[in-house]
Amino acid sequence: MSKLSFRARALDASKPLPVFRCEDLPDLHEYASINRAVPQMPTGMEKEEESEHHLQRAISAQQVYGEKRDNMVIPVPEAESNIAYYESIYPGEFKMPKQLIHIQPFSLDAEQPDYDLDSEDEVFVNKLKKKMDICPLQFEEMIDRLEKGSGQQPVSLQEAKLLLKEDDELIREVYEYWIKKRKNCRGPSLIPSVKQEKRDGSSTNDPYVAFRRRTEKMQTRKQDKADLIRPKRKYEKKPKVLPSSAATPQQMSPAALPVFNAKDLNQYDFPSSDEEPLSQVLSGSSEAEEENDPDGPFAFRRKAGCQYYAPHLDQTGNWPWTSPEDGGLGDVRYRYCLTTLTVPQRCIGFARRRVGRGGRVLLDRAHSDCDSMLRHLDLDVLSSPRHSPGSQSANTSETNTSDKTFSKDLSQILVNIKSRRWRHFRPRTPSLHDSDNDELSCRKLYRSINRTGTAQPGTQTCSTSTQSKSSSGSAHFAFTAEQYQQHQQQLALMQKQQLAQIQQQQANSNSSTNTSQNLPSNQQKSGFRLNIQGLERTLQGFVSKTLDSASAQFAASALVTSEQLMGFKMKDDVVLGIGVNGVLPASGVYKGLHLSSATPTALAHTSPSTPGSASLQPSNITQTSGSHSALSHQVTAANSATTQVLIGNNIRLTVPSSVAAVNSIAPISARHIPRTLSAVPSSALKLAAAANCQVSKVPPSSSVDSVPRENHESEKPALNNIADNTVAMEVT
Amino acid sequence: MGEGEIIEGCRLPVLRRNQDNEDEWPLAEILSVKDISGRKLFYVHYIDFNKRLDEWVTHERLDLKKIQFPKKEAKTPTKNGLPGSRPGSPEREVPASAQASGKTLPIPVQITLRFNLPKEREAIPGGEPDQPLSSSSCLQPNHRSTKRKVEVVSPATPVPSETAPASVFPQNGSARRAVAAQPGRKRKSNCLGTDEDSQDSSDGIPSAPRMTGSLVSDRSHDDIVTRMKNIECIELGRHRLKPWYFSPYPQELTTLPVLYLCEFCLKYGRSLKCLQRHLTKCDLRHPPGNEIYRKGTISFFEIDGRKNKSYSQNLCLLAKCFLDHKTLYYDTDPFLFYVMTEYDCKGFHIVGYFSKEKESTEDYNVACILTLPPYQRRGYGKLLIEFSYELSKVEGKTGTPEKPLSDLGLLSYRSYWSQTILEILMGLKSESGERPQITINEISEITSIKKEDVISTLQYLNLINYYKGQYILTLSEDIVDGHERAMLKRLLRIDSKCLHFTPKDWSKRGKW
Repeated sequence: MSKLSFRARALDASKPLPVFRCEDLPDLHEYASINRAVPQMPTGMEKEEESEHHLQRAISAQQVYGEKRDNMVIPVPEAESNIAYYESIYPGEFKMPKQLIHIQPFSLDAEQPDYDLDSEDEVFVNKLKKKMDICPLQFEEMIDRLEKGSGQQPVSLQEAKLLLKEDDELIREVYEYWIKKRKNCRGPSLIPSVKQEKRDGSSTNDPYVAFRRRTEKMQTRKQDKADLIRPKRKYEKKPKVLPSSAATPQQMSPAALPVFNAKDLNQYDFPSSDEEPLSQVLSGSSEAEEENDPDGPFAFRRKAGCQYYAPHLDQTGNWPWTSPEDGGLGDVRYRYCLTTLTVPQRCIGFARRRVGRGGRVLLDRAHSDCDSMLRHLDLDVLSSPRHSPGSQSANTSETNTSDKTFSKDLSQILVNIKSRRWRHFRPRTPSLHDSDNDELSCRKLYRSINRTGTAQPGTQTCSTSTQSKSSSGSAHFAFTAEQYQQHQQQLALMQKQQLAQIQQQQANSNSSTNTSQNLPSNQQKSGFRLNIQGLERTLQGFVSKTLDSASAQFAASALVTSEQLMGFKMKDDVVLGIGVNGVLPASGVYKGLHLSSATPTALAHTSPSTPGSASLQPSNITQTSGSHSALSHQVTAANSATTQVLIGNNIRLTVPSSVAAVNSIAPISARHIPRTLSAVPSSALKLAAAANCQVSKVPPSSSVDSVPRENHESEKPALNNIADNTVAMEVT
Repeated sequence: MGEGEIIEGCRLPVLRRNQDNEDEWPLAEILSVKDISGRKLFYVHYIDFNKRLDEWVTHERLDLKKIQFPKKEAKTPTKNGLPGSRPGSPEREVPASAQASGKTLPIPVQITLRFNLPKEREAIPGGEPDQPLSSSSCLQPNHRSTKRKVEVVSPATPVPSETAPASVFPQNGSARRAVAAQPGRKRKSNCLGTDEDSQDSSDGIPSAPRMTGSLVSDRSHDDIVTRMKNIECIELGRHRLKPWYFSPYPQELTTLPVLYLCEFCLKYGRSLKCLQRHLTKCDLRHPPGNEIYRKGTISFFEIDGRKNKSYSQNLCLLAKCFLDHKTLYYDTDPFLFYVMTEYDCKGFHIVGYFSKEKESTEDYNVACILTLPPYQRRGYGKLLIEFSYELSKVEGKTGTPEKPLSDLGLLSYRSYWSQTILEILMGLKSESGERPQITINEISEITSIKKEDVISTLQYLNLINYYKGQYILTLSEDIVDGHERAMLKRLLRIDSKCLHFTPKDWSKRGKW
């Protein structure tokens, strides 16, 4: 075989290469001429740098000697390693832990001032020390606050006094020192920090600006065109999502629930000067632009300052309303069910709720053969069961009949609905059927409160939150007195419904007793009690996000103040009317249906207990599921007592929730137990424990039972009430 | 010839002491001139040397007899005249061909004026004390450029100016004005066609750099500011480091003779006093991440660039001092940082680190990698590289470092690749008298070294030969001996048993 008569084949990475020692192949050199058949791979360096003198020298030295020679290394600027004072300034002795070090994500946020005192400050502080009480750390904290409180312009002395908690004289001294030092300071702040991106894009090329956010910038039209001509790699911004461990599935679900962050607002509020105004887009957009922007004015546009959750591409169907087959949660609350609109008031047949972008509630309608009939459903009839326990119990005999088949008979449908075999979703109207005198007076009260104008809930938030059943994570940070009243009032309603349901369930569970349950005369009281439960639930999402030590502190005090609240409540002695145009999502009817269909375990669980309790326990469940959304009405912080109680209750709520979870809410609270508890100061825990103790002494059934009984008892200590509530929640 | 005539762009031999302590007069280019209390200093770049050796020199070290002035004609498009090495300054007007020397008198550099106009942000010269530093507002095109060489004088370095906060960044002194226009345009106008990068927006609209990766892929964003070191000295633990390259530490700190860093959290401070105060408040004794490897005194900590921004940023700022191509343009969110530490009784001291994209579209398993200078040439770099491949092995992927490599990076990687591959080849046992054989893919799978890097290493070592109709690998005696000697010296190794690492699928998480 001629050695050189052929060209070398391409190197095949998957073909075995025999390994020889050169000494075994004495004739190898004869083949050398074609050894270069494999093209040289690039080094991966920049061309100009590759030819640099010292590198080339080092490479050739390596090739000649097989390894680097000391004098052939690439020279670098020298470093020193003999800082004499090192030992003295760095604290000594850090013992290596036996285990690998794991840091807690939040352990790093120890609140220490970023500002570090310098020698000049030290002189000042020492001087000041003679007159006043100040230490370096305190001084640093003050400067830190002043610096962080200042923007381009330093804060004024007046503002400084608001920022600082020290006494005025000290503030003035430090302020004057600070303002002078700041004036002389060359940087924008006494706390040196890397220059940040400017909103207007002028900092694009500033070499001192670093760590720009990888936000999708608003692109100018010009650039869009340029993109068309010369395709450029597009990097989609991946919006940040809360760590899944910290967020419940329900929180994650709304695709585009904006999360506001004050800092973001500051930083990413891109001025519109760069963007084409909407009108222009509407009037005369070129074809190319249309191509780029097929949705035109309806295209989804990111709002500056908003962070959007990433779409769950891998688990597209992870919605509470999607059936498990499609990867959803299949939450029964979102099944297709009979739905009635408030305005215009009519039944639209079967529909399913889900939450769309921005928290809008969408109704997916489904066709059924009964549609024509359903449309004529008498709404008044539908709502009647709430008022007429008597008639309801009359119906109970029918409820046990099979309801699987669609009855063409309108009355049968009605009966089915009424007996909660068909769920019926009805946004609640402001006009209340069961208005009594109390309520009227309360409405007046409510209005007057409204007029005196503590922060009125914005319509937007209001509507969102009423709909936010699935997005309980939306933060409700604040509560106002009137909102609280609203809750109570809603809850009172719900309680009524529950009582109706109780009867219903009694029938369902085949209890022979057909007790005519009197609607409690003392409604406000029980309403209040249930209210707390409801609010607890409301807060679950909220707490799951942010139960910081501050709110835990609140919680601790809440236990104390709940008594006050009781007083407040009694004094007012009101049940308020619903004042919002709002949709109050889950009506009692709906809930009842839900319960009977979805909570067999609960029923089974309660069956051995006394009839009364058996009926009560489910009622709590239903309330949980139903009131959840109604209660996610946020409450603003005008009334601190209210807030505190809410949070306080919530803490206790999470404690016992290890009990079998019937409802989807329970897992949520369970998940948050560790976190919640860890954040709670010991005092709160103690109180919670006390509340809990009480609970444990009482068998669940009887303590639940005590709720209706309490309706007839006059006064009970507030703490007792809380204990009751805790138990009630256990069921969920 | 007076030193006043020495302007940016001039080339001349500059005295330099080499490693062997011998005096040399390599050709250098003046990149900037500053005046400190009446004494002029010149920032020089030695042609064909890496710019980490750039430095401020006094006029005594300049060989003025052989000075070459920048030429006016340089403005005309020319593709030749570019030396093999990277141009000294990005906006150098002169191709600096030899014949240009001495012929032309220093010409008021109009071309610089052109650069001045669009580059508003840099127009903060000493003459305008009322211009706030942070201002990026548009300055009027001004008279200054034409006379710049005479008025390059900026206020003396360390003296804080009460009135003119903007005027006291002498490092940038006169050079600040010479700063180029928007990157895309600048290259064009200079017609340094060889550097033109298609990625750069060609229509003159300043474009943001690509959003992936950690390295500058094109130098078009280079300007005179980033071309020059801006930090004189960094104190980190018991070390004092001399930065090699520009790093965007807060501008007001660039005038300090020493920048003090906390060696554990890497926070920067103005003075030793500040550092001392900081240390009373900082209780970190190790990088603020999870320790995923420990053997002996060597540990690795994993830090999420999204979760621990402040540390990640501080680390990047420090690393930028030693990594020319590193970009800090974007945030650290998509990166993980693996910090290698050495333990002693004071804590876990940072030795080096590498960063890694959580998701790489290009098989990168390392973005930036650095051994801090005090620890260099002691085997730590190879240890870092080895660790990066250990992670890839756990991930079941092959990987390669992000490009471009630096000179030191290339040498380190080549050395690691060579040793790793030779280790495998020499360990091959012949089965039943057959010649041992191996495929490139197998080498790649065993080592997690990307196939291309395996091939390039085999080529570099000259192991691939075509013999009697097939490719073979041949091990020469030199190679074998050299390898054995090298492995004797390589005492620091990664022990995969000590690695406690579970890779996360970042694409599934939908977040960084």
